Amino acid sequence: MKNYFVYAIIFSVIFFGKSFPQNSFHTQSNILIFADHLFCEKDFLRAIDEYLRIENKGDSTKLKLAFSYQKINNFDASSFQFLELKNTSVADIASLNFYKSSYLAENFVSLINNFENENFISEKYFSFISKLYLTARIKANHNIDKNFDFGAFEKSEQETVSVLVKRQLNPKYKSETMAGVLSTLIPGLGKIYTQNYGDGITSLIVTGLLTYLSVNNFDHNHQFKGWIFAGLSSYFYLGNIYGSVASAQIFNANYNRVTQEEIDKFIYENNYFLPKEADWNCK
Amino acid sequence: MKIFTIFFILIFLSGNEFLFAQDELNNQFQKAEKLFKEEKYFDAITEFKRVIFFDSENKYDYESYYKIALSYRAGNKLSEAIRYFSLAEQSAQTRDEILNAKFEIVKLNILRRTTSSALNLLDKIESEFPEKQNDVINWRGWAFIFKDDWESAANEFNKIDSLKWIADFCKNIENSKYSVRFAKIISYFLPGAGQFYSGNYLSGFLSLGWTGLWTYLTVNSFVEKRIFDSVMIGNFLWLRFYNGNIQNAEKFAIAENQKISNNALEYLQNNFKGKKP
Repeated sequence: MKNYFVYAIIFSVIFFGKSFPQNSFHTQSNILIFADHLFCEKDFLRAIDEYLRIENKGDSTKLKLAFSYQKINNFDASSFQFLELKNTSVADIASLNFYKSSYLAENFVSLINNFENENFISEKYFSFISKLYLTARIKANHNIDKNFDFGAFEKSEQETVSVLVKRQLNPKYKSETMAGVLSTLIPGLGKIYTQNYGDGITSLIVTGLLTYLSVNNFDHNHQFKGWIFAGLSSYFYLGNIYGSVASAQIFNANYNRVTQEEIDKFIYENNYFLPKEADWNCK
Repeated sequence: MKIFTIFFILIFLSGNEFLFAQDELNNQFQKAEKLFKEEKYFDAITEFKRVIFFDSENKYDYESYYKIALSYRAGNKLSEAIRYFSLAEQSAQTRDEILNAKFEIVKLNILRRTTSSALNLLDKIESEFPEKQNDVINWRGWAFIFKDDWESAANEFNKIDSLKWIADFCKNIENSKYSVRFAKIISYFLPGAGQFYSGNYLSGFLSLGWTGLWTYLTVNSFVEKRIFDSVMIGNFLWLRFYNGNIQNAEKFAIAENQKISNNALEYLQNNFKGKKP
């Protein structure tokens, strides 16, 4: 009887032993291990698929899922996932990255509103998030005035921030109308006004010369050449007006581009005001 | 006696566990293969990666890396594909496996037109695997085709009797191409001639007409001793159209050559039955 009992145990172990391991690569614990491996390999797209297969995700898993979304630039999903981590053990780092996701998604209005409504702000990282919030305001040119508070920034950062704020507050744009009018009065003047000096002087000389030649040819009864030079001078004259207006537009677009690039550079060099990223135990 | 029986059964069990793990790995590999065959490349890559991750004995490493690389290649992620072919090469067990991986890397370099990398790798293969010289020559020829160097391609294919027809084909392509330098030079002497040469007659007539008109007016002003007029017309009109004519001749010749190359590649893609990238 005793023997039968022992054999029964052994054979049931064999039987269940056979059936259990069939899917052991796809058990919850193995999916998690594999997902973490993909995460460390920076294959975030596949890591997301694996993390989503885990039924009861721990905080750390949820955080990695949110990060994975952020890394593949799916900022809506990452913001949502970070927000889910409110009131958890990883809330501080999630809060920081919740704001970073909004910034990267260029959802500046949403970022500013969330901060002003004190939505999901980590106390531990309040100063970092404040800097992100203020930079978002500068970037979006949102409610900036001369009383802009630089207090949240370090002294070493304040000078750069002050320059950026000034660029947004008093943009040194060139008026397109003024450029057009100036070039109508004196060819090339509009281009000189938009600091396009070489083109301005060339326009003045070429239009002047062609006009002179046209008049001179008509005076000497060379009608055909007179008309050719008249056509050419008109072409250059009208082109100079159009070019001056375009030059003002380009000047303004460049001004905006440089401002935005300076802000991007500033925040990128400061790593979005985030502390050094965890190494996630990746080997 | 009973103790011995239990002992043997336990040994049997532990052996079985190992077999089950191997079974499971095999099943996992078959699953990945199935996805690969069904052309579900994204999922296939995930499952092959899972095989590699859980394959403690590295039994399926080569095949898995190789198939991952092929899947990336199918998705046109050529750099990733090269990375995984390199991993396949590192985990290869036989000379054939190493060679396969190396040739796949060559093919990808040909496709993404990093010709010098492809040629360097082919030189190494040639010295390490002298018995594969014909394959090396074939791939070298293809590298030159993708580099748009049909003459060098013809020279390579000419080295193998069975590929002489493709050598002739490449030679014909080279001969049917327009000489960009010639198109430019004849346009210096007769505006529009370069465009005529590459079959762009309308552009050729326009270049000839405009340059002729401005030449006449420049000379005419000079003859009438209106030197300043002559300089201005010469500078602003004649020179502009004359330069434009030369640039056009070059542009059209390059564009026509591009068409010839593309048509030739399309022909080879559909009609060449041998090994191709």
